[in-house]
Amino acid sequence: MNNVLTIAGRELRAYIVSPLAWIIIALFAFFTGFIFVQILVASRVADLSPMFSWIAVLALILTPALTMRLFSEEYKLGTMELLLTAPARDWQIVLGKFLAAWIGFAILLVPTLWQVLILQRYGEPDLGVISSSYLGTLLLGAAFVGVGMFSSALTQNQFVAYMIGMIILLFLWVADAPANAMGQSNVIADFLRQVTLPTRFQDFFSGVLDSQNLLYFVSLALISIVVTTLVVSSRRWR
Amino acid sequence: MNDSSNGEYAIEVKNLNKFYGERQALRNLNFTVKRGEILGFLGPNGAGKTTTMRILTGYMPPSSGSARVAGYDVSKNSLDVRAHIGYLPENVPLYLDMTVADYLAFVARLHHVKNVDAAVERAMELVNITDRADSTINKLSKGYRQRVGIAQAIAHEPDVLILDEPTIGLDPRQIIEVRDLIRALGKEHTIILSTHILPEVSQTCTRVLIIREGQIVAEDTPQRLGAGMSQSEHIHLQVAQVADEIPAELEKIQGVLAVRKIQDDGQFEIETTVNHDRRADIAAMAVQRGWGVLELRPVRMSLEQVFLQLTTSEEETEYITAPSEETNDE
Repeated sequence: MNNVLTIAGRELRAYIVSPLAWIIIALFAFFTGFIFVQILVASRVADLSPMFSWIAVLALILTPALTMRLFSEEYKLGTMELLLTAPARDWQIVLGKFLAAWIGFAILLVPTLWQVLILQRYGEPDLGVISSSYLGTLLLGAAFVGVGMFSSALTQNQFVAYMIGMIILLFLWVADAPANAMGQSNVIADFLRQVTLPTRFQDFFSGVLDSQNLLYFVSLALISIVVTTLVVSSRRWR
Repeated sequence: MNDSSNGEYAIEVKNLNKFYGERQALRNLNFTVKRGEILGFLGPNGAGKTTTMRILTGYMPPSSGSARVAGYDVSKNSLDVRAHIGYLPENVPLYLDMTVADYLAFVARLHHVKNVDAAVERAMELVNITDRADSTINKLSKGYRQRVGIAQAIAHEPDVLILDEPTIGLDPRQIIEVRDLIRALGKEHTIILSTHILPEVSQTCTRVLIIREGQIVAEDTPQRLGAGMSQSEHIHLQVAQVADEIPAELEKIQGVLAVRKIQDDGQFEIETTVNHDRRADIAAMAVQRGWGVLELRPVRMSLEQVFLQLTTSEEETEYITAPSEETNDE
């Protein structure tokens, strides 16, 4: 566990000194604020659920930017060799990086808490729905961070890592489109519907806690961690 | 207690093979390194130096064979091996946006050092970069970065230091500094360093291992390698009185195989049979004939010549000349 924390600590430090992380935070805060105002002015209802759908879209665009350097930069700097010859296991390195990026993702959400306070002050928002929305967003973040980290482990080019991460997430986002074209009783179509993202997080945003959805995001994150570890270990048999 | 305090050898390599797909990078490598030795690993680019080091550091396993470092098997106890080595890869692994002290603290923590601050302080003092502790690494010169890389390798006081091309890309003064540093570190650590620069080996190492196409082609002290490889011995003679008869006269001495005039100013190279020092005979003749000896000395085959001879097969002569380019850097 010590190794995991050491790795995560360094990653978080790297975020703090990186202009990119601050740009991502600024963009996220700006757009969520903007959307909040638009929705509030239009609907005049103390409800954050439309905004969370937009947060999911923002996360789709910005999470791969948050994770693209995790491994790509190590490959480029040659520091991967430092980590892999230190007395740490491959999965500890991967988990440390995952945790750091996930914490980074959670920090993106901090400015949105301000909006909850505003709703509290002037209306009566449903705090249960808001809590489940935040939980859903954090789980979605874990899955997105996992996918982004995996794509970063594939290449030393950060832009390529961003694109791969984004493409995988986009595919998951619209996976039900080809499924619907295939018809109802089809194994592949059923599978594609199962892995489609929006239906999974929409339940959280409307206050429904479904263990299947929880399992979906947790599995996606875990699979990403395992597959990334395999990629990192692949040097041993190449 | 750990295993590392037992045994005479810091490193034992047995029948090591490594394949990258079809290509065989290491062919049945066998060698040992005693505690306290500084072993030079010499070979042209692509000979298998980095591959060997990566196996010794636990970065990747061998295809077959075994290697023990500090008493631990690299395949079975990879983590123990990694805990007992310090490794400087060829591309110095630096996080450019960290300060020197932060970076060293991170590496020390990764190696489970108990007193991180003291370890960082000590490592910085050893490589003489304490004054740059708070500098961001990307602002440091190449020489300083190299020192940070070495500091990183020694921060956790490892038994064995593995340095891959530690002086590559440095200017001559920095090279001297790094070599002095390596020699100093050699008093407390067992060191393997790889290089394709020959003076480095003769100046820093206690033993040399020449590797070519994944095989060891020679193994000895730098001095003995220079002496032992030649089929004949050479003596350099310079006389004051230049006379045409000199080569013919010298060849009359028993054991002299050939005499070659180097320059018209009285310099000759005399080739003799091995293990019979003919210098006394030559001097006696020179005095007797009144040539006026200015200089008389044995010519050792330089390590460069040995290296070229060992690592060059005839069809690749041109390719192999590259390593000698950097030999004049001091």
